[in-house]
Amino acid sequence: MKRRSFVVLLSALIVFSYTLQLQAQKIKVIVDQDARGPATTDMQSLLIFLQSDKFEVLGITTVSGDQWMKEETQRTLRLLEIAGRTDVPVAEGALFPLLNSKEESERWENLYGKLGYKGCWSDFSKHAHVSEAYRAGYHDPEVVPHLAEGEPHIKPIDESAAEFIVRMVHKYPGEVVIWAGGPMTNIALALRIDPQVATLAKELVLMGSGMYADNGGINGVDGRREFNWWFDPEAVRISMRAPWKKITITPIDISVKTNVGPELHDAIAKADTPVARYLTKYSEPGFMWDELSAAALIDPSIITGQKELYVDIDIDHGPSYGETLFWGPDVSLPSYERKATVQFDVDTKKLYDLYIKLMTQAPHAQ
Amino acid sequence: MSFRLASPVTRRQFVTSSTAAVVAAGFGATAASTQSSNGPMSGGSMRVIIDTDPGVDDAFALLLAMRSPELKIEAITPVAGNVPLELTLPNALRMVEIAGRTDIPVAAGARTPLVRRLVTAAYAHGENGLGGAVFPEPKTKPVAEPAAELIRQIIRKYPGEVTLITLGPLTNIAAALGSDSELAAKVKGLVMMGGSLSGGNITPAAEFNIYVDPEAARMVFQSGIPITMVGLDVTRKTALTDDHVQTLSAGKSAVSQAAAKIARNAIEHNRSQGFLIGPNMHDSLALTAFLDPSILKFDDYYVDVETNGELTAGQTLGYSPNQGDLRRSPEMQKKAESSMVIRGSAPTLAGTKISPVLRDKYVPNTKVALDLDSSRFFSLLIGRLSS
Repeated sequence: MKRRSFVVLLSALIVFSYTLQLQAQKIKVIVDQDARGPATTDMQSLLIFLQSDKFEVLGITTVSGDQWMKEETQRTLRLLEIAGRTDVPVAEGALFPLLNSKEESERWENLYGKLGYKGCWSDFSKHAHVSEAYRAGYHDPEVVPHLAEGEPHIKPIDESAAEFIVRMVHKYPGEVVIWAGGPMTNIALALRIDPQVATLAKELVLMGSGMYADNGGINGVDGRREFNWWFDPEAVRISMRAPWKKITITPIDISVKTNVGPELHDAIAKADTPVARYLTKYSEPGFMWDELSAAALIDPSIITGQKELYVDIDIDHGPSYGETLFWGPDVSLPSYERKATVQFDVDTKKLYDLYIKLMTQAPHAQ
Repeated sequence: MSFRLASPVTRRQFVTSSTAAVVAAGFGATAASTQSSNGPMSGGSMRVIIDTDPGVDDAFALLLAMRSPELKIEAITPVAGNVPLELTLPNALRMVEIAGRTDIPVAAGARTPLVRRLVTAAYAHGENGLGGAVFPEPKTKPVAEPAAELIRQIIRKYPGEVTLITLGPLTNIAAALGSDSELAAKVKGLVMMGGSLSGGNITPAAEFNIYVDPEAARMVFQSGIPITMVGLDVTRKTALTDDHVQTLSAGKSAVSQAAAKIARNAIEHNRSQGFLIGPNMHDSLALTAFLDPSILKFDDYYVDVETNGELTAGQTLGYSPNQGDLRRSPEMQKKAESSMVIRGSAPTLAGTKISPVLRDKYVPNTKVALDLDSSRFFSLLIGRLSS
């Protein structure tokens, strides 16, 4: 072999292995989301996963919560087209929580008082403060209304969300981060279909639960009754007691310290990309519930304060159904209660800078 | 008459709309009509998946199923219940080997109920789940797919054709239904051994299969699938006798010999506990309700499951506009049915006077077996096993 061709081959090998290494450093993530759209906290967190080169998004799995799953799936597919990420598979998940239901929530309200926010069980037409794009009335589970942001041309894959989760953790044992931005129905089902899911995954990261809820909770409701967890309490119970290697929780306690305000909106509006145009047109001011949880995976230093707590949920179908239960790290508890890392304090400047950078970057080549 | 759902029925539609009335009216004809139109021995045309936790009487039911030529058994899906999955899975594999039916896929199911800790019934089924009857380790392996996934694949492959025969806790079925919202509408029917409208066995309220996983049972009863419930109301009227064992012992086949061995041990176990009659054949009766519904008598109910009771979790409640033996005139009966609501417990908070209504309308979701012809049942069971 000539010396020159040897050098060429060697450098090609080095480049190749470096690329492999970069790929290996990426976080393999399944993004489970109740993707109400357009441009809600649900969609904006999806965009963080899609825009950042830190992630290898194995797939997005949809679940009813903020909206019904069928509509969410279509909005997610459309978002992938806008972001130029139609390479990411979408698997349809649970249309209903395991046991909780619209009817049960109405019965609960008759007994214990009105709930502030009920996701897909709400009638948003009665929320006068929200803008036109979100002021739709209640619709049935199978109905997919007209999408203001456009109808998608791509389709979900022919596999249920729970099965997709099972297949991925087996394909990449020890590597997959399961990130949950909505109710935990799909994850609970995956755990019962195959109990190895928890031990095969790298970590469970989720937005949900409420502890001290510094801001007094949502709409005056008890701060421990957080929507994602309240929507399917039994699924949370199953998920929180599974033997994960690590659980990281973004509770509402930290989310309420963030805000998508006019500065973020204006900074993103300056960019002329499909993603920026989508956000500029549809994004509304509000807390960064899910965005914060996603961004902290990219840059953990965004979180400036966290605690190790035992976390679980009340599943008795009484006044406290769906409320977060938590204990300090040093109490003596039965072995089925599990500790989680719970985020409480945030460096908002870091968060906002990262968010603006990701949302204004050049579009992905299709 | 063949039964087809006009459109997919979701849980919400089922519980709130009159679509379900069509379901309820139609499903009585499912098993019976399929059978009569095809003839009893036409050979493997009724597609079933058997979800089971063997289990002494489960083992019997499995052997009966594999000796029933009208069935096309698409899969057997063991679940934790009578004994842990570590035993129900090999026990199911043992049964397919004994029957020479290793062509039937066996898929490992759930190890634990949905949200509760597993409670087993080793006290009734022996430590090995087969009443102490010992069979060799199975050589056959389960398929790679988990049970819930295989159930989903099969139902999607044959929409409207597959009947689920459930003989244990309903965890696998609930997991399959929960993960795929379109699945329930593609299931032809579900025949379960489980529940009771006349008191339980493991507690005064609950029958064992429902007691183990009430949450899963509730998901199944609210799924919109046409259900046939064969519970303690009828299964406690079946008792295996020494005569049955003798007939089975005289049979030449491996199935007959294995059934005789399990039966002998089960009767022995029952005697050692001081019981004066032989063990109930719960699961075989449920399968029989599918094979020949004319052996049992059914009535329509809206069945729901208590998931919250401190003493009563797992109780099945049958709502019906009928008031026992007090029959109304036909027009008043119709009125009673249309005005009936499904009522829950009285409120506990001061100031609340609204009676909690679970459903604003009575729509039957289950045919509950209330009586049977025991001698016809046993001649079918013992006849098929010993032939």
